[in-house]
Amino acid sequence: MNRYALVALGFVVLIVLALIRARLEPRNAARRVFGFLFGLEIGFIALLLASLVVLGTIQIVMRNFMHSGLLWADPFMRHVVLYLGAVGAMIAAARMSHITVDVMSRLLPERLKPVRRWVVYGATAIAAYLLAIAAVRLVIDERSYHEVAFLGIQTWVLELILPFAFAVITYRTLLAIFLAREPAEAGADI
Amino acid sequence: MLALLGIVLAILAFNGMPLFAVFGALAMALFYAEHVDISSVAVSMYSVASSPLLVAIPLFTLAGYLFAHSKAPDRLVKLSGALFPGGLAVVALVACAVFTAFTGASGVTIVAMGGLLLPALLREGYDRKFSLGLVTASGSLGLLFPPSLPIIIYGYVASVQIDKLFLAGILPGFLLLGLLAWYGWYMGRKEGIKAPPMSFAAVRTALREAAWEIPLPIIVLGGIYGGLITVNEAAALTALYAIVIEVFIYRDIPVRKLPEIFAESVSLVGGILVIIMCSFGFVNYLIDAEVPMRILAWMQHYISSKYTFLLILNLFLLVVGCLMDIFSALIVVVPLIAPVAVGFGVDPVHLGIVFLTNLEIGYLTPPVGLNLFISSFRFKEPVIKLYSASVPFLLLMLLALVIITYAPALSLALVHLVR
Repeated sequence: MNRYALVALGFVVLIVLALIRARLEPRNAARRVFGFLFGLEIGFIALLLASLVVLGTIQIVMRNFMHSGLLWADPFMRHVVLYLGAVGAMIAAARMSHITVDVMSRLLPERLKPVRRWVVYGATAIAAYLLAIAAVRLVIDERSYHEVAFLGIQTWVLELILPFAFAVITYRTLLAIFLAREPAEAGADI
Repeated sequence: MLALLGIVLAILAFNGMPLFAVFGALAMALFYAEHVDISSVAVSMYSVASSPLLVAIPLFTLAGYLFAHSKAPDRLVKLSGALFPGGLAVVALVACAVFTAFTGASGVTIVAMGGLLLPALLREGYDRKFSLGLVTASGSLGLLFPPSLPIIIYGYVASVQIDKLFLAGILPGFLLLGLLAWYGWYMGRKEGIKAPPMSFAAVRTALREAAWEIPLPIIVLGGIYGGLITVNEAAALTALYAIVIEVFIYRDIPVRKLPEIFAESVSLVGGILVIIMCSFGFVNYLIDAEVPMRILAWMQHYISSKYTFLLILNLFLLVVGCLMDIFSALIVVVPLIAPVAVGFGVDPVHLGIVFLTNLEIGYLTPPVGLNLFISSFRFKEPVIKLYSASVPFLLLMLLALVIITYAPALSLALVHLVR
């Protein structure tokens, strides 16, 4: 299949997923499943934050009292920050709390709000999706280099979070359009 | 074609398109136009994992949110009230400054402290407009004190040592605080509000109540400047300390509330980091195209004095500060301006403080200063009313900005002293 067709297909898949999710919205069972998935996300960030706290503390103790340190701790912690950034951006997309310089929308008349939502978030979804594609290409490129980041883990494996996060951001942005959400009223939602 | 896309993206941005998407789209378009693979944008995303400086950000943010959700604000207000004479207005400013420094100037201060302070100020008889202006202005006061998040981000973006910036911010921070505190004291006297006399019993109770929180600034700053810990390790220690005392010692935060606090703090961190990730491609493109050098050459054509340059820089940054939030302004503007400033002989550390002071003021400047909106939302007041309420505070802060800009020694004295 043609590369461009594949890219377009991926976007359609995300639209369909978001549409299905939007249709399932009123059902309790669906909410429980998505709530569980969101719980996994929170559990993951709790683990990441804990690892930063614990490793940071261990480094202080080891350097000051034993004059040594864990060599892999530094690259590990830097990658944890990348992961926190990526997962945090996913959560910010669900809460619609991404940083904006929104001056106009407050002045917009009520009847134009749906138009704004479709145009602005539609453009956001496309941009986020293209960023995901850019990240896929990075991963494919890096696979051929076999570079190791730390503890024998290859760089491209660690980079997989980038396409994943931007795909999720795309999906959540689309979901916000379909559920007719505005930033102020959005809660955490998967 | 590119210009058209730029205009469309600007319109979308002003209508609420998240900035990461705006910058990401711009970067991809620029690379595409130059026949560079768009994966270059992703290369700069991954570069977030190559900087050791960013580790402090999620940790300090987490600590800040933990404090904000605990009863630390109450204890801080009580302690400042017992220790600082001059009335509640002064107390409010001091408490907010400390709180902002530890929570990273993200609007948490107004939400956490303002709700506590505004009713108290009104009860003591302060004018409503004055009180509103005060809590709005104090939402970003303290941004220059360590370990504030914007300082760390400036250090990261401009490649300036963060511990130097921490030191440089202290005296200018006190200048801002001092000016506003003087105004608060003056207004209190004008309204005939009597400050309660200082009582040792009150000091003792307040000290005992906050006994676990008081050592934290000492551990963090003492550790960093004593050479025992790095800034990142200080951040890890602060987060650990905050969890231990607020969850297990004071028990202000039940364990079941922790996931929500994690999510809240990480979504802010993600919001900032994703802009760093997406705008780096764009910024690198501009640097490769030697845009800063061209700005420098163009400016040197018209102005020769460092002081004229600083004046223009201030005006420019005030406009940036009222249009953009502090984090994206730092990420996008600093890499372009820093080389120009160095070309004019401005010290990078001093430049950082000037930058941050401007952006701090930007929080208060109409039409889109963030603090104005947070206050309006929090206190259910129309934004227009907050515009006029914050004017006296804004003017005092502008006065401080002039002093900070034209007296570099204020920023650099402590840095030179410690070195």
